[in-house]
Amino acid sequence: MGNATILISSVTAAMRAQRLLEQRGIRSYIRKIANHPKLGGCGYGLEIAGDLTSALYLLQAANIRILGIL
Amino acid sequence: MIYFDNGATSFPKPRGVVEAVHQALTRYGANPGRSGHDLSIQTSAKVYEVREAAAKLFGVEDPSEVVFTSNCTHAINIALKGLLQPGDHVIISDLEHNAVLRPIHALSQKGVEYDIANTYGRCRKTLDSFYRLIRPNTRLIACAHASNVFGIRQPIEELAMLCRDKNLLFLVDAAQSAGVLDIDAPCMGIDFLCTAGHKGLYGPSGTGLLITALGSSLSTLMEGGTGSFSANYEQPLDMPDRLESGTLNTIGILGLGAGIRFVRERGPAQIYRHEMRIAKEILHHLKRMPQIVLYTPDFDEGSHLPVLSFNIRGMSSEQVIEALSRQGFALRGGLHCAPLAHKKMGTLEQGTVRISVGAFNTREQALMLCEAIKKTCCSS
Repeated sequence: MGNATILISSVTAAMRAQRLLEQRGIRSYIRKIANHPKLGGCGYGLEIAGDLTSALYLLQAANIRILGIL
Repeated sequence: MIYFDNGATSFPKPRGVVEAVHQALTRYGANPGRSGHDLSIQTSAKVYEVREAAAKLFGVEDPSEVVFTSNCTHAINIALKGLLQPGDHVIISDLEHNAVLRPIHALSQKGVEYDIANTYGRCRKTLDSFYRLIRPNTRLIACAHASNVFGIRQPIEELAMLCRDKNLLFLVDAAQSAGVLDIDAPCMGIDFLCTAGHKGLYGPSGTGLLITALGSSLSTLMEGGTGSFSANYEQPLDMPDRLESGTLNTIGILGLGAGIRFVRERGPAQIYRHEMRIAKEILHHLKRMPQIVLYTPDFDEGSHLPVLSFNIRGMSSEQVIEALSRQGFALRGGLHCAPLAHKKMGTLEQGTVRISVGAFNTREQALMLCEAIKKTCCSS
């Protein structure tokens, strides 16, 4: 099974999220997500190469809007 | 050509800006925030770095609060027209540039009301002048950090406190001050910080910034593609997408990033001291020329930016500019897009000759300019 991808609205939010996770030692990769219903069309996702629960916690604490998980 | 027209746009640009623009054209050519290929993601990352740098320069924690615009006027229009509704009242200063005056005046045709506060520099009297104009429907104070014609600074920190006290929003036009004065927008209580990227931040033309935590609540001036929520017909609420429709000016933004790096490395305080030394040197010499009319004889650190205006008796400002241009100096004459400021100082007819100092100007250049002005006086 591959890594989970956190759905995030825009590339700016994805960049911010990636920086935040990096600072906490969680690696992630930004992916373009084409036309997903949870994104209301196209958006970006953050593929998490680490602990998903910690990543979700950190992003929520930083008020980064999470639109779903793939 | 020796350049003293940095209030219009700074020149020359730092080497790093030239290199960043070159790199944007040759290496980061993809559209940021639209595609999923590596080059688009890399370009997005470079754009985001500039957002972070701008956020840091202006004390903002969340880079999503940084909106890239095409200039300061664009940033001001986004904020004013996105915020104000018919019946709202706004107070502006008597030193405003048309970047503030004209959108406010246009809004007044649609039911927004406005008053112009007399100002007297960074003092209690200026504050009282704004205070007396506050009404129950006052929503916003919009004020230039400093005059683009006379360099006179406004009591921004105190006005911000007044806004907080009276529950008003506060917009600052920092076109002339960004990069020269330290600005911490949240700490100073600025709700909308608008600035050019191509003046004191040393970026390329066609760049500007709006810094605000209130972006999601603004109506939009423009709607369109953002690379997000693309199946929705409505403009997203998410920042900065809400206020950044269409492809970004990647080339300008990466150049601006290098300009901000230049400013942060030197520090606005050091740049300010350097430029003020030169401006004061020029003023010292101008004061000794009897044909010169000065408008800010008490020009000083703390109360002014390194921007000063003068005229030569018997000559129009444009004649002076032409004479100086023939001697190899670039200055600006005329009304400087600020009729309120000229009306205040009695220069609406003649305009003024403006000297605006930049980080690359030197004392030697200042002395050469003074010699050229002296020569021009003698020929008048």
